[in-house]
Amino acid sequence: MMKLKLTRWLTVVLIWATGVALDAPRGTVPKSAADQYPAHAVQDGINIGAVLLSTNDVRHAFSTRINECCLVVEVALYPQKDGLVEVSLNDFALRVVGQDIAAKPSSAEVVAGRLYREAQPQQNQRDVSISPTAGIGYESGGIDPVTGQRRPGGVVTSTGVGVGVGAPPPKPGSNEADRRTMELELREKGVPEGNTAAPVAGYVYFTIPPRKNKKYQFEYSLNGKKVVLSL
Amino acid sequence: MWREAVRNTLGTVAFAILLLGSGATGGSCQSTSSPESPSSTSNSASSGVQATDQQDQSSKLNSKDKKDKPDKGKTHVHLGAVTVGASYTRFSNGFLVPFWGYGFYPYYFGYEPFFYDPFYSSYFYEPYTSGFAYGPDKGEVRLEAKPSSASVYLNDAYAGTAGKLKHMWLAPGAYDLTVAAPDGSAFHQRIYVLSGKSLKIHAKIVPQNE
Repeated sequence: MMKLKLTRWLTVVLIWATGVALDAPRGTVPKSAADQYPAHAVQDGINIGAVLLSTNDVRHAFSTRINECCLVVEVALYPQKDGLVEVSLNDFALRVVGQDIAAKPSSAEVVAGRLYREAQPQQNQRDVSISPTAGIGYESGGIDPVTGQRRPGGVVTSTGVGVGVGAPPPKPGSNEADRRTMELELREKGVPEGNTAAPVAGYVYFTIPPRKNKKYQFEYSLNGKKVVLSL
Repeated sequence: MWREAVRNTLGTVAFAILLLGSGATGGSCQSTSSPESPSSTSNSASSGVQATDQQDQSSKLNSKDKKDKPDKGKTHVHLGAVTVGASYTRFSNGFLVPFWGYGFYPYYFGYEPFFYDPFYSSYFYEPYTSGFAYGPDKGEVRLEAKPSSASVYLNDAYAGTAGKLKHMWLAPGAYDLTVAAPDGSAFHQRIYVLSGKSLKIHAKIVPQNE
């Protein structure tokens, strides 16, 4: 009897723990070593690798249209053996080379909120469609029913314009359920924060609009020292 | 609100009848008990709260595991044209999952779990048949998977075969998609569905012997 109750409790605890684990950020799977990433460095025994995702990469990796607002960097940290590293979003930054523009990472909530806001239809936004029409025909002639006189035939032409005014269709990500889903995706794929003794990897989001032919520097602060990676 | 109250009351009465009578009801009521019912459903203990028709599918996949097959029972009562029923699934560890349902005899009758059910339509005999239709607030999942007889699961709940689920319209949210081939090999992916957006999934199932 006692054993049965214990089993039931263990089942409940297992279900709860599974739920908690599923809610937790999970990041991405780190590659076998930091040097597998295009940009990598070592600082105080900790290996760090990073890659800036192209627009195409982002489109394949995310359902969320994060390309519209942000740059995405995949970062991986490899603690030294028996060592511990504290991962915090505050330790990362992205700088545009040649410009005084630098940005700290944005949280999943902020990015999802921004995309949700941008997807909202504006009140004064109207979708106007114009349809020009033209017609050509031949009238054979005959008796005019109004005047009773004979009317000659000939070519008849007509032109016109149809104008339709309405609201555009809603964009993806424009309702509350979408906002929650985007936030969940960004959080689950984001780099997991906290202390870790095992290699971790995940995405970091910077609210810098993607531009072609721009060079970026990814900065990571570790124990007061700054590691700079060219992306 | 009052419908919920009536449903809950009917469910409680039906389940009480099942527990007290163990399938035998008095008076003019009819009663049956069928452990192999297609609509008596349950989920694995890992998710705990989701229950659909996947039991039949998982039992196909693990047909050798006769020992772990959960004990199931169900009954229903005809009250004129109205039918009220209840069922349960008891796992080997003692975990009990009760279900209940109601409808108008002989049509429109199925069982649903007392607990959370992620897909409202899943308590019909044919699960999800109305859950994947187009809706303006839904997102499309285009699934490519071979073989077409592979079973598709959403959040561990059986959804149908890959051949019939090439286009699914789902409510916005995150889903755990699993495509399982008859030989036991499977493809897993977590997908995020947004309204008005199409998501193309190419499920590459690697055979187990490779």
